Amino acid sequence: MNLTSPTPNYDLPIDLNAERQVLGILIKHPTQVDKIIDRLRPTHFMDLAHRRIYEIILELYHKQGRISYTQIYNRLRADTVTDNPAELLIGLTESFVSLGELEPSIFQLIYKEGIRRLVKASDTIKSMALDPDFDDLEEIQARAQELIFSASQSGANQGDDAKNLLEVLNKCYLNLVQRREGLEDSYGLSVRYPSIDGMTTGFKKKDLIILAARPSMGKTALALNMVSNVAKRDIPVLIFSLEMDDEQLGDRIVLAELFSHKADGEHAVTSHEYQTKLSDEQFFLTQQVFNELYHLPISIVDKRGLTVTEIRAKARKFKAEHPNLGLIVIDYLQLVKPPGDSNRSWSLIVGEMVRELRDLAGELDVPLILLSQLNRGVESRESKRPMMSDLRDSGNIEEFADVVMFLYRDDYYYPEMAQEKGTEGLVEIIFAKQRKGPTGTVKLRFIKEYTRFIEEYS
Amino acid sequence: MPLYDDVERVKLRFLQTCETLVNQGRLDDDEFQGILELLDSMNDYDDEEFRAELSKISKGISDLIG
Repeated sequence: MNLTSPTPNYDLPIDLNAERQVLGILIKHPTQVDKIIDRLRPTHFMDLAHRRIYEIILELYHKQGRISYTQIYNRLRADTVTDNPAELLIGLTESFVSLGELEPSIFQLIYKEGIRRLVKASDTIKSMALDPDFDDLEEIQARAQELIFSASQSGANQGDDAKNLLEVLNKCYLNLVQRREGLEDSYGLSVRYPSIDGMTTGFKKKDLIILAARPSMGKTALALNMVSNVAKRDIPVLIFSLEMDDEQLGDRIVLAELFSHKADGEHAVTSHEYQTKLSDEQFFLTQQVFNELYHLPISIVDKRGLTVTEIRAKARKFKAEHPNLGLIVIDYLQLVKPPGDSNRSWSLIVGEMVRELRDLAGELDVPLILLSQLNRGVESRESKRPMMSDLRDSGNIEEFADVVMFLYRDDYYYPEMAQEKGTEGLVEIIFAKQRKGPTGTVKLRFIKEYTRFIEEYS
Repeated sequence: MPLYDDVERVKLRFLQTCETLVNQGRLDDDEFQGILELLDSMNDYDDEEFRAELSKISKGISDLIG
């Protein structure tokens, strides 16, 4: 007696008995539907008739809360998945003994489906890898990682279960105690600039932080300074540098450190000396700085033309290797390569990329600092201080950001006036948006020669 | 609840028989739907009421099980 319709014609793991048991139990005990609906999708059932019966069960339960064999029989009459609904359903009534068989059967269905997804993903990766039309190794690797990651996300709605208030308040209370005890990063990720930390109380995990300014204002320098400060506490940081190569970044990190080494009240090594020729003493000192920096857990991806997909794949891989990843920096948004097959407007494309990067921060549970240029509208205004509207042409970036920081220097636009006013090198960090904190402006001093930001009072 | 399963199996066999009668043209689709709905709410009736309701839908079927 053939109780089920033919299964799809490929060799994948399947447990027809578990499928029958789950369906039989659900028809007899409809209230169990609530307990499994977020764990089982129709695709967990490989037999097409079983899959259809599961869909019917869900429909009936949601419509009237009651399920019966006769109603399912009636629905199956109108379908083509089986030519003998009575035999199929009688098979279900004979398939289980007790309610206790439900959980083990669900486990089997979830397990088999997870294996099937992995097998299918590996088949797709194999076809893609052997397809002569795909000739970009890094693109293939990135897509392979996406496929494997996607196949590993099992369960119908995993991770978005409703949390009860007790669970939420427990976490809030733990944070409160940690703050009271002054524990490291109990507020968020400190970047060791008191004025910035004072505004943000530390960058929060899952947050997208936009650091935007006109070119040469000091975006990369500030980001690198913050990166070094974080990494000095042995917190891994990942930098995607789409403009500068790794050596340029390395030199900047060394220079910023050299700033604080002085001899006879003067800088021991000037930027010019570092980039030309050092005396023996200076060379010895610089070697010491190198030695201090060698152990910092900073990793740099300095490939130009990365897509969001590639960034995501590399970041996921890095997170898997460094579970305590503390910060991601992307320098900068306008150099991220947009998807090639899109006919949408630039604004929509950029908006989509920013949303995907925010989702990446959420997925990896780290703050992500995304550097961004500002449009030229700033230049044509009397007041050159950036405003939210200066981001607006770039796909509503501000909508997706948790924090928006702008950099502004008087001496960038008015060098003589800045010299007269004594504001030369003074940088305003304008917090134009903070979802979890105040807006306002703080000031740092930018030592351009050393690409180093210091607190104004220091 | 073995009785539940037995009753459900009997209902399904009964529907299977009715389906055959539909295919033979001895029962029309409206009658079949009426019988199906009656079986679905069978617990609301005692034996006499059920037979009376079935007879209203199809005298032939009622006589068949009578």
